[in-house]
Amino acid sequence: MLKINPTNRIIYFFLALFLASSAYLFAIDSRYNNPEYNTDWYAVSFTDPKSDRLDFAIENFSSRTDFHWEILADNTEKISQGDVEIKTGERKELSPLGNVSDKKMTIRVSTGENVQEIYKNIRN
Amino acid sequence: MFGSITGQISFYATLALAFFLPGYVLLLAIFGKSKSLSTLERSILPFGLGIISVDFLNFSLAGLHLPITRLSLSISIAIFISICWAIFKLHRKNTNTDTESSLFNFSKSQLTLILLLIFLTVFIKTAYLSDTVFPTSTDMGHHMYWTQWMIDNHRLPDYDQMPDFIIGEQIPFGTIGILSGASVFSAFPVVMLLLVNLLGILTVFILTLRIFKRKNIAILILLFLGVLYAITSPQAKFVSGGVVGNILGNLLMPLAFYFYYRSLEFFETGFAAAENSRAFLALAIFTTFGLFYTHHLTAFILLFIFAMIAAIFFIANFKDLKNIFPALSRLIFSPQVLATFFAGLVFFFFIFTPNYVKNSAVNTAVGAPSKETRVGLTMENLRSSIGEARIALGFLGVIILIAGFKKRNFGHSIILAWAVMIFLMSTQPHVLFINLPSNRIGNYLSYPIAILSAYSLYTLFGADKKSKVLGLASSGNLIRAGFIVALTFVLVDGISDSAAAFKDKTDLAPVAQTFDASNYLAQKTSSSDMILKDHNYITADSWMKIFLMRGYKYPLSRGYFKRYEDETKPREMCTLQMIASPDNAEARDCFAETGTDFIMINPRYDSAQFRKLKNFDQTYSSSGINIYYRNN
Repeated sequence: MLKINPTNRIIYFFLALFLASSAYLFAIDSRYNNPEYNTDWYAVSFTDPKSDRLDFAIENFSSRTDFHWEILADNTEKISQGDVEIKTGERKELSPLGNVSDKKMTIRVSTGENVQEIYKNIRN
Repeated sequence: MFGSITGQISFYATLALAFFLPGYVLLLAIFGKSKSLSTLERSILPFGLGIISVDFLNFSLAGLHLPITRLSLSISIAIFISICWAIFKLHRKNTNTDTESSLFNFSKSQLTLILLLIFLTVFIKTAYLSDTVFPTSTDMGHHMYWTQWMIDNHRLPDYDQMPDFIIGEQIPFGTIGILSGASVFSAFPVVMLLLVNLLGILTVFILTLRIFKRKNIAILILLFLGVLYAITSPQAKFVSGGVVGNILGNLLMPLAFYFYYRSLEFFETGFAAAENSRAFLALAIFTTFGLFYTHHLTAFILLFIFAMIAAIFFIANFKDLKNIFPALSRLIFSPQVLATFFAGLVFFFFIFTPNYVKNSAVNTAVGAPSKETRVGLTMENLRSSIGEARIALGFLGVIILIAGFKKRNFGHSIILAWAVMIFLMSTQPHVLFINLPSNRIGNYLSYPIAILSAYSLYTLFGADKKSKVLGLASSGNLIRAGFIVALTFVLVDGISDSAAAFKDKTDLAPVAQTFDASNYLAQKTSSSDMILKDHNYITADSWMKIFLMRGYKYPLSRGYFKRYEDETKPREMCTLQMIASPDNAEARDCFAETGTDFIMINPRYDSAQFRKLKNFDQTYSSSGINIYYRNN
């Protein structure tokens, strides 16, 4: 049997513990990007925030995959709507059809009870 | 993500080759295979020396106007290692008949206890870090910005001339990032700080062993500094919080004390310097320069401690001063010591001067306390930060140390001055004209107090005759008594303190949302846009600047509300007004003045004021983050 002197045992033991500890910390360091540990949210955003275009994107980090979207003028008049399937961890860009009027144009996205809105105040 | 096996191997290889190996060969070049350093010391000391060596190599590259890249760093480290190795081969005999100090021959039960305490230390810290390893802390975000800057720009950061950052805080991380390719968003900064923290504890272990020459006192250090209060500041909480300067300082300061002690160890037996005293003093000076390059607060504290060490040692040895001064003179005015000192000065003033020297930060640290947080800690504050059990034993340790003071043991002066000076600096700053946050100084007290706790516990319960100071020693078996007392402390105070620090399961969605929104802004904006974000209600907001990399002060930030009310430090109000009341006259002036056109806030607290304004579009929305674009 291999004999290790006591001092070296301390060194090797410390080294092994540090390696095990750090390997574990490295293994979990990106959990915030892992849908298993980071659920129940999604983001809606305009793909071009500075123009009058209403193209938007949905990024899904929730467990649900069914999204409904609608475009509202001044929060009352529905211009268009649609449904889209987005897998967990995926992003989808949408280019809705419809006239952009000189109003507050709102994109409302919902999945289940969860609703997110983005809007632009269009002034031509 | 840095979870790949090859990524981790390159990280460990960088730690070994860029930090451990330079320190190891430096010791080899100086001491050869002399048994004046034990195997354990040759394993613990190199990493700190390696950090300082790599600092100086980076300064050399900067001084030569060479880009700091993987190639240049690798070559410079290889040259350094080769030179040290050549010196070792040329000037040192490989054979050495000395025997290793019996101080490091541990009995089976001692060895078991050491391994158990090391295991508990690493286990408790890792368990805490498993919930806090994610890139969220504000301080770590600031440090990692400059680390990323160094990686991207292949040179040392100038910090936009801000004195708050010190180059030695970034170089180790920048070097790892450049050599291993590790991302600053991975666990590597936390793992690096964890290693530094653990090695700091082990450095105190060998320092204590050398000074008191009692293995059981050193073992108790692992209990008082490692296992007990393993989470609370300045331990694992500072590791996850990215309090880089403090963590590095708590490695380099004990390391400096170790070398200073070894250089003056000969006073215990006479006035003739030992063979390696000059080499130890040179290393002490090298480490002190490293500390000055790493953390100004720790260096500032070291200066005060040093003044008290000198006072205690000279007063205690007043009758022997006629012998001590010539001995010190022979030691100091030696080629090794003077060469190290002047080389350090040349680097410090001509090759790479820390920003805090250029900006006279010392002037702001000295004077009457200017704020309530600087007037000194109360005993209640100390009890909560150091731990009731530890501070009680620590104070007892001061009395016992004074009672059994060995005037010729320079280590006794170091330990006493270390504890007493930090105690005075943190509780009575006005006496010393110190104008710094008292709690930041108080965080350093746990190290000497842990040593004194171990010393007093050993003296009270130790079995051997030499521990019987004041006649308090019992005749029980030290290991058994130590175990019982230790377990009591662990259960009652130390571990309960750690347990209170454990977080509930971390919700990672806020971090992910901040990073997703930051990524969106990085893609959709340019440097001609100005972004304002909120620091109060957004998680991990300080990491935004790493996505953007448009300057340390980009994006603008609404700071903690109390800072806008601080009468001692008036500050701009625009960042407050542009979020709180974006439509009032002052805010409109601020928007015009700063060019702010994107605002990132937490919708739970700050969305209503923007939703009613027609000149703001909401361009991004998630449950934790809204982004508004000012459209006129």
